[in-house]
Amino acid sequence: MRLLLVVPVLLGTILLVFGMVFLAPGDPISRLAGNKPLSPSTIAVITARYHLEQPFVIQFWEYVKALSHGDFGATFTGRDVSEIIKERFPVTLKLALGAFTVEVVLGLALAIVSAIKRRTWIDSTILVGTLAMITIPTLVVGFVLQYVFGIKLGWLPVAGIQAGWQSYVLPALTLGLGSAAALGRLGRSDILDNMTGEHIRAAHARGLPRRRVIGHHVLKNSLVPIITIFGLDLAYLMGGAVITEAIFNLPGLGQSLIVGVRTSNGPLVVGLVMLSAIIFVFTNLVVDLLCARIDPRISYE
Amino acid sequence: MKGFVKVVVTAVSLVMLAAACSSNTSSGGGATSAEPGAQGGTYSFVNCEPTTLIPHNDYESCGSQVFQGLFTRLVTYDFTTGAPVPAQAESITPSADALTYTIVIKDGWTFHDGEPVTAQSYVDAWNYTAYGPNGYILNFFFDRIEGYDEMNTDKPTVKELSGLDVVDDTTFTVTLKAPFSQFENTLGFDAFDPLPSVFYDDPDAFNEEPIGDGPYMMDGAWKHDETIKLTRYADYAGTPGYADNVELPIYTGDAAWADFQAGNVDITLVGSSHIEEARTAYPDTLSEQPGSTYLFLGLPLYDEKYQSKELRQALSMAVDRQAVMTAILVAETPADDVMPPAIQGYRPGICQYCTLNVEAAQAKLAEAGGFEGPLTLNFYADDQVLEQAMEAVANQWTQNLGIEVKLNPINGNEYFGMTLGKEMTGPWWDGWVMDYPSIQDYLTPLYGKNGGYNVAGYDNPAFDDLMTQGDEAPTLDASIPVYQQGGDMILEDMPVIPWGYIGFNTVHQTSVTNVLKAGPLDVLALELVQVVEPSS
Repeated sequence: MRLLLVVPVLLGTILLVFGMVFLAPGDPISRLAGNKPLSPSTIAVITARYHLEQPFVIQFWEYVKALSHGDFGATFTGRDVSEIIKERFPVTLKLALGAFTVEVVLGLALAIVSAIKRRTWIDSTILVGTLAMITIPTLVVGFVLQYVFGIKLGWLPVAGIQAGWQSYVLPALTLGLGSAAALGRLGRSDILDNMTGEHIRAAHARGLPRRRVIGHHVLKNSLVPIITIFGLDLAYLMGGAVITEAIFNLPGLGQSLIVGVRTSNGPLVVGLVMLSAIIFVFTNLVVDLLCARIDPRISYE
Repeated sequence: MKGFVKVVVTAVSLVMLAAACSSNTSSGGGATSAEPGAQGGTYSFVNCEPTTLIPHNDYESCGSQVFQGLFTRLVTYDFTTGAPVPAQAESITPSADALTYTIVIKDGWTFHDGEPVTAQSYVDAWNYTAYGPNGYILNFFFDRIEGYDEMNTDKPTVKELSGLDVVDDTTFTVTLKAPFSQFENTLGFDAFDPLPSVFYDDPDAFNEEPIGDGPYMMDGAWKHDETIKLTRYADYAGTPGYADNVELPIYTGDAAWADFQAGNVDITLVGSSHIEEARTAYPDTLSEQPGSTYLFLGLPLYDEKYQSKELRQALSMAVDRQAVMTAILVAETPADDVMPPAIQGYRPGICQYCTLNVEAAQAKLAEAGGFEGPLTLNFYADDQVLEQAMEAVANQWTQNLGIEVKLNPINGNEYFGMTLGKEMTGPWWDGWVMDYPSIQDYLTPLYGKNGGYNVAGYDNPAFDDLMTQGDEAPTLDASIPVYQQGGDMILEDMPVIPWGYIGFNTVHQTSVTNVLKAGPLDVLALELVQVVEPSS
């Protein structure tokens, strides 16, 4: 049932994005050669190849038809969009997973520590620190990390992905720190809410060890909102890597999207946005199912 | 050579490309300490993602930089004069009427896969590109050759240019539709590269690992958006490159500059956003040279308000180009001719209306009968540096001529549609990059009656006559004075206001030396770069 809902969501997304790209001013072919006069025969061949002479409905139909066979079409410069995605997806995925790890590990640690040590100087420091981390824009964090650890200290690569996993350290931190801070703050209040619950007092009263009370009763109950956030964040990280990829020159999907938009490369933009939509829809699906497992009161039958 | 296109593609405006300010014409920066002929080593040079690696289908600077290493063309260009010099060609001989060219190529050259380079290698590649249904971007370069029209109808039945004739393995002749003295000049461009026969079996595979006839060959396949690696071609019949290996890592955006500062790449181009920083931090290895992009302010001659040449001269003399470039467009140099300095036939300071002269400007404006304002100044939106520069121009016009100026930023996607469609309502920011280094290419396309980018709508039969005379000149040398007369006419009539030159600025680490711009072309001469201590 949930799966069936995915279809109209995706179709709507294509229609919307396709419409926007189609209505955008300017001629994509002229983009291929700037102000140079291409020969009429070249223009005619390219126009026919991408159905550019057809009305919107036909173009849309051709696209959906090809897409149903898994064909994302080709860019105006002749590359298969599927191939671009295949090549760039792993980069963005690695970046997103790296950032996600930063978020989960750092964010949960901050949440748990500040909740347990509530109203101490540790808690206050964390609260102020996370507030700063949320406020500073990704762009600034990225450039600062790049300058300090890449250029000045030379510990980590500045740009590109030539150096393997090390290339992803700074970008993942850049992308993950903000989310980690947000998670830390949200997790803290969530855990605190739970800690004051009746069942926790009961558990304490039963003489259960503190570790077990917090691990089993408090954290488990705090998981539903946190997992929901994880899901949204993972999808956001996949799509929100645009700035980070630009700063660190990572050849991922975000970077490709910028280029696509700038060059009016319709097929590329539609393909990439489609992919984001698919990822978003499916992560949410997984999150919903997970939540249902954790909390039996939630059900999606 | 394709800088303008690159600018468009990256949708940053003109000023964002590497640009020149101080006219330091001694190229290569300070250090030239490597022993002459010292071979070996590996160096890296910042590049961008090419749209394709098939030279005949590519029209942007990221690709041309790669082709510079992969291919040796029939001609190359003299670094100082800009004149064509035979490279893979043994000789290129025009007939007396400049209509037929006999091209003899050097014997014993091979492609990177071992196949000999023959006359047929050229003719086949040219035919393939000229054949309309193949849809190759550089197709229009062949429309001067006899038989082009038959190959570019709706349903062409001919697949070969009738003007190409293979005489033997090393000789072929080219017959043009009309005399064209500059034909030899065009032959150093990507459109005229030879191709090995494996190309035709599978162009897509060729695109991933192209095979050329140049000093460097691909070292493994093109790693999209990551890097392109080249290695010296051992059996190269020309003068071999110095370095053993060349890496062309691919960058998008500003990360290249950060990586250069960290010492991770050896050479990079410097755009206007970092040029001042580079002048302080790397004074010894920074080289600033005017590139081949000619910037101008277009004028709508189709609008009756802009009919008077005195008005156009007044507008030109009322702006202080140097002041704007010192303060804002820091990486450009003011224009003083109808073309950039690296082109054969350039005359420094020939433009008499291109420097600030407020009194003369006011006199000319009075002669033109004043201007009914306001004047609309159009430029690309989304570029704050350019916007500042245009504001400065507007202020100067207001101050010096008393004309009210309205600034009108226009979306980059619509821009060329409006210039070509003659929809501009006032002066606009524009530029032209040559297709081949020739004075003719800075004149006919821009101001000729049928010029491909005559967006001003300039129509002057006397000018067209001069262009035809130049085309019909028996030799290149004889043609230049004729074209220069046409240039004089343009500088007098001012269908556009000459503005400046975008520079080709490089900076390098001390690990390399002999970093040179490839003459009039806006690419680095990859084969000339030397690694200082190649042993490592």
